[in-house]
Amino acid sequence: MSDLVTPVWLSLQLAGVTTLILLVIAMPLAWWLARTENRFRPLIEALTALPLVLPPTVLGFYLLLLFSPDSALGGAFLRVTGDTLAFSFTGLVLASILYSMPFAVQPLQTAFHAVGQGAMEAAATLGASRFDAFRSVALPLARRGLLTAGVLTFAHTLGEFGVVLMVGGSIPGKTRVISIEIYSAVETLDYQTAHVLSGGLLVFSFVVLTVVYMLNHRGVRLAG
Amino acid sequence: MDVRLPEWRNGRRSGFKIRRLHGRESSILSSGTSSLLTLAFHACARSIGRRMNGARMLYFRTIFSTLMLIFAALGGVRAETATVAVATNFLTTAELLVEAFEKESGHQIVLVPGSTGKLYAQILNGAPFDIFLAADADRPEALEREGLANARDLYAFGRLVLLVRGAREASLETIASDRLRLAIANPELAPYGAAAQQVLGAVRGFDDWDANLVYGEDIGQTMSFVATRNADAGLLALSQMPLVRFRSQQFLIPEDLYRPIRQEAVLLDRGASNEAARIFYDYIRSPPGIRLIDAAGYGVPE
Repeated sequence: MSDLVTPVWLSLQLAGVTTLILLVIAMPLAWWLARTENRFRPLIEALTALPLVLPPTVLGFYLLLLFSPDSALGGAFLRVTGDTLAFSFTGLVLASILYSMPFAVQPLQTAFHAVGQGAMEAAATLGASRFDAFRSVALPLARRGLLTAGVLTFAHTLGEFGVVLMVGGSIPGKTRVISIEIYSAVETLDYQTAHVLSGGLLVFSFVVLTVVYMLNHRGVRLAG
Repeated sequence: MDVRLPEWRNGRRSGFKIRRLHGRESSILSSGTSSLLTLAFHACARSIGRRMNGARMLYFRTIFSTLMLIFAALGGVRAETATVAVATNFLTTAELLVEAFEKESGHQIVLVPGSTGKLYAQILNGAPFDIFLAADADRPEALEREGLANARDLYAFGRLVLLVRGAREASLETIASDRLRLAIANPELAPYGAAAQQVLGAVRGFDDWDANLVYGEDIGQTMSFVATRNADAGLLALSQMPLVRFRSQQFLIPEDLYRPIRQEAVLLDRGASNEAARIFYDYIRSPPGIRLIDAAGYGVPE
């Protein structure tokens, strides 16, 4: 059986970093989407939801071209870091941010939408600045959405496969994540490794989803 | 039915007789079907003929005879389809073989590309392949031990090429000293990756390749890494070089630096009863087949 700690640790790191960055990006985006009357909103909403619909190969193909030193982004990254974006941890984080975007944005958007205009206006009449109102009124009211977004993003990134297969290059400790390790294990007939990792991922995903549903349910009861 | 023994048939198998038998059966079958249908048509026509004017009758007849022709055509041609699992390095060559073969035989071949290791695992798990064109001899031998192989033959020797992007000199020393990103195929799954590893092990004074290497899932993905410039160089199959559309240098790796890549074909048990598979299996090692393989950049068996 091959080394299991490295891919598991790598996947956890990737999912953790991706979740943190994505929540920071998704919060203002979801806030804006939930409240704006801008006529371009459907466009932005569709853009963020695209990874739900597109096959990972489409994303992987465009990322491979984007990561290439021939492209502006890939070239700039190479000049600054001396490393290519493809086959690097940074590249995978970037890919995961795009790939898991809808899982962060959509729960947050729903939660922010539910906060409603009234609470924000009340906070404003009490003299709260817009940021203050967001932080001390909207965010606590939307905490379940925040939790759901975080957990789903983490779990979804942990299970990422197709995009990583296309831009990762399967480097141990850098881009060889759990799903790739399972794929390789199955192909090399190392079913023991495949069983341990697959079983672990199955149990983890089940537990995570159960916890999310339990928390959501309790939240509903408390609110009601 | 005209049956002609192709020049490349070695007659070892009994496909010829079976084919002739099939031909006779099928023509009997189709003429039988035709006469039955004609009877049915006349019966119908009689019953509705009174209400049918001349123009309508003509229209009906035309449609009917067209249908008859199609039935006859379907009955006459007995094309079979075989599924061939092919190691990615051989894919473009296999496509040429298939094109020539289909034109000559009327049979159809479906190609399924993948790394040798992956296809091997799929075969063990019951994948519906008739022929396996591997990039090594280990997996075909293993399939034989498993009792899944009906026949096993060498069809090509693989040749490894170092492809370096740009105007740099194509040498492994350059890659080591300039810290270039080198793409090789996954050594566990792709024999060309394993050969690449042996070559890297033979470069003197440099054994720490880990920081330079990226692994393609198979030799095709390895090529795509180089083609998109995400890797600077790759150890690839000579047969892939016609795919190169970018500025690059090539260096044919001396064959004493790696164990010979003996590419063996397996006629799987499933394919033994498929006529298209049997004939295609022979075609690969026939003089026209060998000429194609040779021209594609492989060594061919004596």
